[in-house]
Amino acid sequence: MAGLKIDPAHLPGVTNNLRTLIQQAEVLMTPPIAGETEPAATYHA
Amino acid sequence: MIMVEDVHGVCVLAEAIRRGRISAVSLIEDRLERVRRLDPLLNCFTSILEDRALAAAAEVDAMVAAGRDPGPLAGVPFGVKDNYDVGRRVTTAGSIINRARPAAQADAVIAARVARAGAILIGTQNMDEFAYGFTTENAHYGATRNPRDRDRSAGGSSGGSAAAVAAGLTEFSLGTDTNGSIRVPSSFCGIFGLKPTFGRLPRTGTFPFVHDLDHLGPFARSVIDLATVYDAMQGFDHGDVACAERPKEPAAPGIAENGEGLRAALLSDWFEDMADAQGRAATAMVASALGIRQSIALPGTRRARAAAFVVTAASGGNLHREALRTQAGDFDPATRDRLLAGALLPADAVLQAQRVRQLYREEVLTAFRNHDVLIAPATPCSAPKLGQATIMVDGAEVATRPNIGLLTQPLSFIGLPIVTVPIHNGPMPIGVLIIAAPWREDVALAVAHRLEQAGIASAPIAEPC
Repeated sequence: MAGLKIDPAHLPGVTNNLRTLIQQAEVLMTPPIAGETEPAATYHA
Repeated sequence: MIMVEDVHGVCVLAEAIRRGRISAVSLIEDRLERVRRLDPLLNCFTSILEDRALAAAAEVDAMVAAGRDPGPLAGVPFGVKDNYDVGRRVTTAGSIINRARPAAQADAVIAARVARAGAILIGTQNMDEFAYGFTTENAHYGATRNPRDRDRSAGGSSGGSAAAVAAGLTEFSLGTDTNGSIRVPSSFCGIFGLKPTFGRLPRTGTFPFVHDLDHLGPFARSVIDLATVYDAMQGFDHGDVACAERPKEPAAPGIAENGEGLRAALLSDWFEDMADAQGRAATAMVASALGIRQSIALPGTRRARAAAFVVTAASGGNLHREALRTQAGDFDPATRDRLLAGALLPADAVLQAQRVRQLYREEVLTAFRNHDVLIAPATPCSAPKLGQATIMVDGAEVATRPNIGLLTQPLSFIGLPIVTVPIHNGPMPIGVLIIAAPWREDVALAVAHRLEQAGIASAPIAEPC
């Protein structure tokens, strides 16, 4: 992906971690967020 | 003169040195001897800067002899996490990949500030590789052991820094906290830690992990020591684009008064469910001492934690993209696989996470309209065994490493100032988070001080055996 090759030996670990990340990403998607909600400003407390 | 081995604490030692009752050289020699004796049992340090420390101590003694004031941290030994620049030394950030980088030109800005206040850097301290972890089990530099039980984790990623303070090897240490890396080791090692508001302290001269989540902060064994060190660290610096242009707001001078009459509440739901019985009991002790009778829920917390998890992986993967492409075999395998997965995340997930962040910020700031301070457990459990693969959370067995930050991650995601106070209510200590509104470190520190004065929170020196 965009020049990032994954050694086949590393694939099981990467896949496990990606699965965990996707599970967390799914938590973000429901319930839906109103379209007018802007992403947070990066440098702001 | 008094015996240096019997005297501890930042403020006590600095005062003794300023008054000429202790020499800085004798103090540094004593602590270096303690490091030589105990660090082989703990593995807190990645380097010892003996010559530099002794030379700096001699300068402090010369100032005292000349009638000049060396500063509020006069002669006090401290350490920095291995991701802080130290002049003429390569900043490895717990990796072997960074060994190829040039040596740092100067010390990190806040390390230089505490040194200008008289403190003396004695070494760099162990961490999880590139700060991506909560246990300081480093594949290259070994695990740091908890000085209160050497079979257990010191927490991470600033584990070496926290363990050194707990064991009395340094009087304070400087760490970093992206998702909990000051708060988790404070909890596991039983010491005080401060993660200030995002943007309060400049990160100039530290190796990054996640640019919009990285914070710097101190560890110490008393709240007044923590506040005194924090005050010496404050101030704007152009070298960090995230550093806020705010005046210094010293927390130590009013620490005894600012903890009274505050509106405080316990955080419920997520913050109860993700903690074990010891953590809930510790939080109840704090609530009782502060007279708290109200609990509030923050319904967006689960999503905020997920968002922090996603942003961290994606940003870390992006930061290390080139090394992942060319030197994947040189990473700690656990770090590498997490970073590679993060680099593969779709932009959709990252943007959604930033929208969640905005919503959660609004939700929590609304809570601070009616409260000055919020209280929650710091970690799902006390220090796990080194190598322990799973912990129990909310009745389920889950992987240790990704879940130790369940309680810390949502709060740093929106940059709140937090003091971790150590509660010794079990075989191992556990931390409670004192959470304040943005820029109100003074409030969090004052509440922590009140708990310490009441005998609820304490950080005795551990004698590892």
